[in-house]
Amino acid sequence: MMESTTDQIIKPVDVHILKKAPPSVEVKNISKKFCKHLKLNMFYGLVDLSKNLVGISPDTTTLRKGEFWALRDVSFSLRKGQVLGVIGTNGSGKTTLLRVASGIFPPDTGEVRLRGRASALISLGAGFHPHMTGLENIYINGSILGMNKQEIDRKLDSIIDFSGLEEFIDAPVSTYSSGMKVRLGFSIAIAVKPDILFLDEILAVGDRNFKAKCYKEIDKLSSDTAIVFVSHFMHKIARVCTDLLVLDNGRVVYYGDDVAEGIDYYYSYAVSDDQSVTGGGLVSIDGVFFLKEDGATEGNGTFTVEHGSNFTLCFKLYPAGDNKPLRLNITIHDRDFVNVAATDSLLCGCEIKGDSSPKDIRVHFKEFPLTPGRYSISINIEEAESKDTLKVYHNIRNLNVTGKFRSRSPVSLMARWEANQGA
Amino acid sequence: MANKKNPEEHLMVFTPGERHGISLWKSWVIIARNIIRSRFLIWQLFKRDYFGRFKKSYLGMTWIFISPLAGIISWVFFQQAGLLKPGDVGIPYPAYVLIGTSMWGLFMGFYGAASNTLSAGKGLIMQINFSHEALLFKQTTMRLTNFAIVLVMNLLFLLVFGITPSWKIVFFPLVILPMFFLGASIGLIVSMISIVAVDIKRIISRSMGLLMYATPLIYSDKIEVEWVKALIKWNPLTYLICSARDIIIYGRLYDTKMFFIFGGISFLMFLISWRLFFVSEKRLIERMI
Repeated sequence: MMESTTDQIIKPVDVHILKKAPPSVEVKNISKKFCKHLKLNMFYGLVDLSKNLVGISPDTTTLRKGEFWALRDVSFSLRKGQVLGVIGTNGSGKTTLLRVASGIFPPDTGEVRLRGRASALISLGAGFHPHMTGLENIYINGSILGMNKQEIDRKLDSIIDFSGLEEFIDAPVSTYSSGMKVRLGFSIAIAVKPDILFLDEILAVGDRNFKAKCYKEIDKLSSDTAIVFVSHFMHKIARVCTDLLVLDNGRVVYYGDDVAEGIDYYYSYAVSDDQSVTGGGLVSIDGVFFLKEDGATEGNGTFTVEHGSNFTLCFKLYPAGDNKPLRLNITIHDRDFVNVAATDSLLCGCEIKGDSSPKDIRVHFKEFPLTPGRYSISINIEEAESKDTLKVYHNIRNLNVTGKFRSRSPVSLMARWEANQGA
Repeated sequence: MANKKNPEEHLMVFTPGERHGISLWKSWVIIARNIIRSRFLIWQLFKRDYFGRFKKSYLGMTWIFISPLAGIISWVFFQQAGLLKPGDVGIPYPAYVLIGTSMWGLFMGFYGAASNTLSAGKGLIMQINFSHEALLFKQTTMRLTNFAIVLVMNLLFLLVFGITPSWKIVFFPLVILPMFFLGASIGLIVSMISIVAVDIKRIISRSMGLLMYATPLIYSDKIEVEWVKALIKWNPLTYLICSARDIIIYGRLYDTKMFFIFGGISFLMFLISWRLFFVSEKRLIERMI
């Protein structure tokens, strides 16, 4: 393991001190512009270089022809103990923000202040030489991240141990899988014991066990490190982040410590609600609507429902008429298309005949347990006996669950709690 | 290295033109400090790039000796075949040319090392914030290592021809310093220009190759053609490169006064190009995407 975990567990007094300390990362109103056209980009570079030659600082605050703001007026601050998640659609400026915040690119406006030693893992194994061994690459990568020989010597065993690559450490890195490279890269990056850690979404590559190990390590590090973490995986963001920043077209559209709310906001504009139907069966569905307890109905688009309430999903089913019994499965998934809940007609004891007459299907949901957020519903129709899938209606309707129950988990458990006071 | 107890000591501030506000003198001090701090990084990058290229080769490091050997053989062949009648240069002509061209190779090595400073480190530069000065010194160390091997082989060759190098060869490392300053200063500027104007880099690199013929390295400077004489006279490389050759062969500088004049100018150019690199590099890096 990296090092003893007990000395990293933060004590209440430390939290107090850390809150008083100046932020480890201060990003104030930074903007960054790029040029869309290759030749114009080169030309502007030449003009700026010529200005530098005669001692003139180029004006970076205005856009020239073909330029656009990749980041605009972005601000945030981060102390040790905080993990800032950065999310946004492709091209929203996440990696640019990491590059500006970590000092790779200069800002065009604003200011970045970093206090302490910074480490970054923006790409998979920056500086790795494919023909050199894992061991040789630890020294190369470690030196790039600012460690000296003695420091690497001292941490070598823990780096190899954490990466889990003992057997392959003398093999060239070109023989490693991308997951193995990430393991090595991540192990080196955290061995630096940085005050500030910038992580791009490279952890997406590692295997399940290693990812779990990494997130555990991020948890441990976070008590004494300020971490900026970019990812497309919302459940990971929800799992490790204390704060969230949502970028859209280079601008901050959400910044705060309610991570669940921020993710919800992101989903409100970033995820496609495209419906689709797959499968060649002659069976079909239409007339989908929701029925609330008070008798109100909602037919199209998104259905808004209160967490813990009762409602009914209604639709008409047209079997193929071949008299083969049908089985319907309703799956609810989150906006990352991760299945979070399901119900099944057969398992719930509902028999659906396959004769040619249309059926009115009613699915009654009681004390709906999904926590506030956005979900979508898919319906899978199969033959009950052969289990052959006849048709799947993807994203047939969206669900917007509202309520006071704030959680980063999709399902709420209504447990019976006891507290023996003064025991 | 970082001090975990007092991160305030390691405050880094990035603003749009933060390097423009730094005085000339301070920028050179920062550069020098960055180089000293990056010693271990330079060594690691050197090992990676110098030895990494032989990893997949059957002959491995033997290749380091093959190229200079091929050079020696070819010049001996020309001499034996009577293809070259260069006039009297005081020592056997192949030896004269070999040492001269290896000095030219060293100068072009300094230039090439600097001109690839940014492009050779692109993969790293885009991912991590580190002192890019390390890249120039890694590149230069690679070229110097190649040259050292060539030089040792050439000196052995001189001994075979019965020529004993002057004891003043001990001053050689100092004599090549102006070559480094001039090569690196032109190279650094080209390194920056190459990102925003590829054509200019190509033109300059081709022109640099032609300069060898304006320097009396493969021929004697005792020539009659007036314009060639003038060309040689006003070419600073004549004094810098020929002095490096002459300190080994004859134990003297080519022209002491001109060597120091052009040496001083080269040093000033080096300081100016470093300053330009210092204020411009990050603005150029963002155009490498």
